[in-house]
Amino acid sequence: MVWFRPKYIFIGLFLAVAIWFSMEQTQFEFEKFKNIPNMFHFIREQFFPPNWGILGRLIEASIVTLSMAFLGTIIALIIAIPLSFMAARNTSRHPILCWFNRSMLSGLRSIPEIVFGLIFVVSLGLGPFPAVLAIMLHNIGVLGKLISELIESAEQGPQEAMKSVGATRWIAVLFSILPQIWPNVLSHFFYRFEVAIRTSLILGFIGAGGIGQQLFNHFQTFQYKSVAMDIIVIIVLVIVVDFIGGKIRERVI
Amino acid sequence: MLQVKNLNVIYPKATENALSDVNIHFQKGEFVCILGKSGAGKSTFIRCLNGLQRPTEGSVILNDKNIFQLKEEELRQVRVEMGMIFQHFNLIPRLSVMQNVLTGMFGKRPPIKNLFGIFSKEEKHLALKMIEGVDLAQHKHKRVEALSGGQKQRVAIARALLQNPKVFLGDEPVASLDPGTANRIFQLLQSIHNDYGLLTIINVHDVILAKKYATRIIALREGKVIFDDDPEKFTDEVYNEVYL
Ligand SMILES: Nc1ncnc2c1ncn2[C@@H]1O[C@H](COP(=O)(O)OP(=O)(O)OP(=O)(O)O)[C@@H](O)[C@H]1O
Ligand SMILES: [Mg+2]
Repeated sequence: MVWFRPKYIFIGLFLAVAIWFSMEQTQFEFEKFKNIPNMFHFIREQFFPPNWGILGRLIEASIVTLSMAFLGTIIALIIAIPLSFMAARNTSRHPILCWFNRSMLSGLRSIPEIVFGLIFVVSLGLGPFPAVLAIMLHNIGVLGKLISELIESAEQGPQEAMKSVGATRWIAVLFSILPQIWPNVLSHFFYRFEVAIRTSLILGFIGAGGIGQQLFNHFQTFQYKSVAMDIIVIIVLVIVVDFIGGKIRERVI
Repeated sequence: MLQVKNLNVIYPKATENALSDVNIHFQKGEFVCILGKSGAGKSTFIRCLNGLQRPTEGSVILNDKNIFQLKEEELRQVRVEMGMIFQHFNLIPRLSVMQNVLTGMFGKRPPIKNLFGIFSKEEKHLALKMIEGVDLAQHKHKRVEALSGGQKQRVAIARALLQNPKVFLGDEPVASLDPGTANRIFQLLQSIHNDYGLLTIINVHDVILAKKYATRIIALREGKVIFDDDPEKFTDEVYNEVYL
């Protein structure tokens, strides 16, 4: 049979070994699934009813979370746009400048927010400010890469037209490329904003404030009814942002 | 007024010349059509005329100056004097007809004013006159995506005219239009040519259009000029030589 080449048996064996090895490493045991009914019991007993009394405080905390995510990504966008033009092959003034910008962007991108966050929390103190910096730095790297790729794949035609009307270099580049890529830039921005909201929840765990920190504190102090309330607010927050982001994207494109 | 001397273009990694030893002298008032089959070098040639393409060898001389020896700033000023239109119109998406036409002035204005879109009353009035000239006044606030092909090309013509050019270049400006629209665009180009006393140089693949409107026909084959004369002299034998 053609579809059972010996190669496939080797691949199958290799995968089986890799799965077994990973299960050993993570103490993954099927017996543990027996405990699932206990989990439901635990949740029913400890999480319900959610603690509605803290709703007001949680809404305040969500506004902090939103602000962290928004500020971090919008500053990142403002910084990333000019950097992307310098990092794109077709608009960079010099190959060395282009290479330098690219390496810097990929450096920023490869460091996760949580690492930046830990460094800044230790060096700058607790609170949302270090989280904003962490989100900003990582997203400069991410948006810079995405936008410079958009610039490189922009249509040549309008760029030639702007050259032939005698426009100066940067005006030609801006006018011929920015209108083409703008809808995609915004769409990446909104996506990164949504990711940043989830990130700022995690950053809350290391003391960055906002609703993530509420969740972490309630969890650490076994206040599971408050944890339930935190989770409800987080779910609503993510859904609302997703909905509003979708509406704005529709209008822009 | 525009002279091409010993022009050679070899693209990187290519084995054959895209243009070889092209020598042509253009006079003010000529309406020149350039013919040749696909790959003959028409686009390469026309793009050399305003410096969009740098030749491997040779010169393009406008007003006694070789444009390839100019500094960037001077080359910009040369480009202002040469309006150009393209097969795919090359308008700026998401901007209106008016905004697109106004970009035709960019070469003559300080960059900062271009960036913020600051235009005087006279400048806007002039742009409007150009838009009326190509019969698009009722569409002036429409986004260019909403226009038909013929209308888009007329926007591009208005944009190029706003440069107040002395030379008008076209790289297959009617190749993506239907025959009726193509003919009307050529009529428009001819009347502009006469009104402004231009030198017009246009690539076409339609021999009938070329014979109808040109005052001079140049034919390229494999990067060489094989015909350069009056349209009446473009006989069936020449046709065979160019296309077969
Ligand atoms: N950017 C480029 N890089 C490499 N080779 C190119 C490039 N542009 C054109 N060529 C080659 O140069 C030759 C001339 O091309 P050119 O585009 O000038 O022809 P054309 O007469 O305009 O053809 P068409 O009617 O298809 O537009 C062709 O063989 C083409 O493959
Ligand atoms: Mg061509």
